[in-house]
Amino acid sequence: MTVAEIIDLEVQLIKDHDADLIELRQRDRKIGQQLNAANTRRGELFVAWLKQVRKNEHPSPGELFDTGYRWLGRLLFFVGLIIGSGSAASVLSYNGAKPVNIVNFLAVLIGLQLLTILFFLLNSLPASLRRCIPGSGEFYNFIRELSYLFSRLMGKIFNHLPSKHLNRLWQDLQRIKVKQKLYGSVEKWLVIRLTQRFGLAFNIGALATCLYLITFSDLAFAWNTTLEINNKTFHTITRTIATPWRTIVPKGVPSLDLVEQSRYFQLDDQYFDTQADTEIPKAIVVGRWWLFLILSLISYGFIPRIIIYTFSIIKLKTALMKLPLKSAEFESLFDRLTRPLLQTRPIERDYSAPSDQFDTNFKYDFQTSSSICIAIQWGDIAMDNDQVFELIRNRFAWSVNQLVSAGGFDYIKSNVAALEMIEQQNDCLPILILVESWESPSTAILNFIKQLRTKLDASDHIIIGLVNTASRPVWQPPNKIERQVWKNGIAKLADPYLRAESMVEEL
Amino acid sequence: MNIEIPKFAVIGRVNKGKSSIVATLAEDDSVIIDPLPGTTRICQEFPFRIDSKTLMILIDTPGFQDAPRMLAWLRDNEDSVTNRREVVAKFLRTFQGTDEFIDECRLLEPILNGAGILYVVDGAKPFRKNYEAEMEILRWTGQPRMALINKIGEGDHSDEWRPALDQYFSVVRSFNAHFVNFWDRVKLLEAFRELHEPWRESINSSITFLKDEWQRRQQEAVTIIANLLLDQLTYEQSIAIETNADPQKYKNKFETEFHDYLRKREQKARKSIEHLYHHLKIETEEDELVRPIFEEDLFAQSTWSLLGLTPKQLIALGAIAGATVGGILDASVGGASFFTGTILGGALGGASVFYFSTNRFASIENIIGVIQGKKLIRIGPHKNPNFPWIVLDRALLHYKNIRDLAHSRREKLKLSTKNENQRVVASLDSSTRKALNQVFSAIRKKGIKESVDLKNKFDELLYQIIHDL
Repeated sequence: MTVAEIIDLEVQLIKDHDADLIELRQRDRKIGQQLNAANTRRGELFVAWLKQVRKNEHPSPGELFDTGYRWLGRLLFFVGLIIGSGSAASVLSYNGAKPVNIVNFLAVLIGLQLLTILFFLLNSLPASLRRCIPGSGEFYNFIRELSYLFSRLMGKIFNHLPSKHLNRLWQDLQRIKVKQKLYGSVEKWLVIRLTQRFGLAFNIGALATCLYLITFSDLAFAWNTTLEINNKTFHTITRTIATPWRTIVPKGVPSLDLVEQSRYFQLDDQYFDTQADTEIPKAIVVGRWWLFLILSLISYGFIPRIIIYTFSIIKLKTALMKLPLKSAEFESLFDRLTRPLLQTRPIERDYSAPSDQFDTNFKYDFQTSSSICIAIQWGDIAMDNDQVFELIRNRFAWSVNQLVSAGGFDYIKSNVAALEMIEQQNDCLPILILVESWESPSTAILNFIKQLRTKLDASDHIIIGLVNTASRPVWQPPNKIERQVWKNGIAKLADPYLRAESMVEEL
Repeated sequence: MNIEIPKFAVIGRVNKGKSSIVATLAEDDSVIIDPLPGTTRICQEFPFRIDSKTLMILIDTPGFQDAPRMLAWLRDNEDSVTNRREVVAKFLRTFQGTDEFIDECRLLEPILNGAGILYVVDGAKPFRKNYEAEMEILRWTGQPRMALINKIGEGDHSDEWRPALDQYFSVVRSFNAHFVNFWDRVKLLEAFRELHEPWRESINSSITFLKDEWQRRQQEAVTIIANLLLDQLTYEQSIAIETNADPQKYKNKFETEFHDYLRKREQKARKSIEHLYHHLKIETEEDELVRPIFEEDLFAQSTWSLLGLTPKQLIALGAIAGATVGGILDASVGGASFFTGTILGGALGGASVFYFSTNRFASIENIIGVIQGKKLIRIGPHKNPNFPWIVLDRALLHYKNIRDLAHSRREKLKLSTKNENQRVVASLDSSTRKALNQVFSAIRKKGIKESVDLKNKFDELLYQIIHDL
């Protein structure tokens, strides 16, 4: 996994934060199945998921960061080369008047680098050990303050940048800042890698310049210091410095003679033993220092930088690999990718409304002066004869001329009997069909009414009497919905002399 | 080995709650449920799928229209009791595609193709003998059958129904589609399992996945509620105004915006919970005259008087927190302070709660700084000690209602606004309250994002509360 991928993952998770949960689960589970999520490592799984979710969104915040980071690395490398080269040119500057001071060279090109390497090593120590080092607390506080000031400065700079992409990058980075605890190790090695790149370039620049000046100019080296250091001590120091290559390149170790011969006093503007007679010319003798200096730069500058740079690359990769990816959002994503999706809704739904719509506002022509009726008890309605008579009398003030049953469990015979009875009636009496209001008007009763109409005149009245038998022992009117259901149901027959009535009037 | 996928046709007379049962079992609030009959015109399949694998299928069917006549036809065409299923098939062949017995043909088709039968009756209405025609037809099909006594409205005639149903169905269950919870659904599935041996494995898998899904939803609900509280407790807003401008002029607008944000954030969390439990169509209109308590404004007086902790509980929590701090001081001087720290800390803690809990609204603070020559004023985070408890109480109340809301319900959700017992947090045990109070304090101090342990602790506490609801 790369840093760019982590940034893009986090940005995508932020985007998903506001998305619909059901859609997210469906989307991610589908991807999870394609990726065989349960058997794939988390990091690989999330990256593959990201590719599918993001599709062709370029440049992504991660890509922007990557580009920025790469350019910053190049810039630092270039700056390192210039500064390294400049520093080397400066400490090796020789115009023939005063020789190059070896102490300066060692202090600037080796000493300072060793100091930064020491800080790096200190920083790499566990915090508990680091605290034991005197002054480390104050030092780190100082660094922290500096970094705080730096981040504020960067914030201000970013806020003033007009570029749309950079602003977006900044916003995304701000969000990721919240996750520092998770990504702290990655951030650390990202920064170290950049600084070591600079350090490496510094050493390359310094080495190249040294080699160039040594090869193409006539340098004279000397050592001088205000400190009271005698030749022997300085020789010991140089021998110690030369320890790494002492056995491999013996010529790179300055001899005591060379140390003695190249001591220089500014006051006298001359070498310490300038009067001594030697067979070798002075310039050649003092020029022997170059190998020591180059080897010092390689051993204490270039090689440690290469090692730390390589180490930082490895550590960054390890940190990226070791990322637990177990924050709440990642856990949730992993769950969405791996947990089987439970779906209970239909794949395709039939939303079609009933095709047969009827005019439920039919105008009924209902005028009757009759005082008697024919009553039909429909569908096993639970009423005895007396109850029927009473209910009809109370509601319509009718007496019942004939009472028959129809629509029951075994209704074929009873229906036929009822229809025959009605056919034989000579009087034009209203037909009252008593139904239980909480039942729906089924095809059975509608067919019966159709058959009934064939036995009657077109203008004979048929009334569906709605009885709320569920309300007993007290008779109550059917509810509004039940009335509406029956009104709609019989409207299918489009019969102007057919209507539904409550058998108990509403108060 | 091919496992037979169980299919269940939900059968019954028109308007007896077939679609309600399907909506509840399939967690589908988009199933059309209308008291006016005829909304289900064709058979609709509701597959119970785990990923793309179907474990079970529910089939919503049109209702019986003329069962007695159909039964009469079947009897007329019967040769022997051994070929009754063939007679039903013959009926289908005879009438399918004609104008007669349209709905009967549609509902019989899946049964003859192997679906089990879930026969639904309305137990709120009395039993009538003509229902036996439907039951008898279903018996003729020879398919595994179960009867469900649903209840639409008041009244209970289950005792009348049971003896009749027992004669025709191997399993009879009461199942009120509008008021069942998750465990009732699981129980029903367990009953399905007993109907037909070859279906057992598939139904077992369905039950396992359903339970797993239920647990997952609880965990996700915890995350949603925890994030809501985190945002509500840490949200602040600041604006820069001209140096000579009076901050009070911006007070109303600024405070309104602040509280509106909190309201919207709460709405967002509620929507997530509703979607989590597949309630996609739930109505949340705010302009009704009588609104359920959790539809009332987050900052309404009634909300603050009915939800959250009681003043007594709040002051007790404040006093405990203060006394703890004071106790540390006492301990550091080896008790030489004669517990003055504990006593004073407790008194101060309680008093501070009393002081801060009087205001339901957050107010703007005085100028908190100057930036680029402008005065910076800030509002939030909300300081009232009862605020997190109110937010949590409302979230839990809403959660509980959504979790237990059957998908067949179409009316707006209501809670009794008069019931003092609706405070969830007030009924928590004191150790949970104390632990939650610590979490709230930590969130207010530095935000929970800083601490994974704290977040875990908060999630654990919430999970326990939600689990016990």
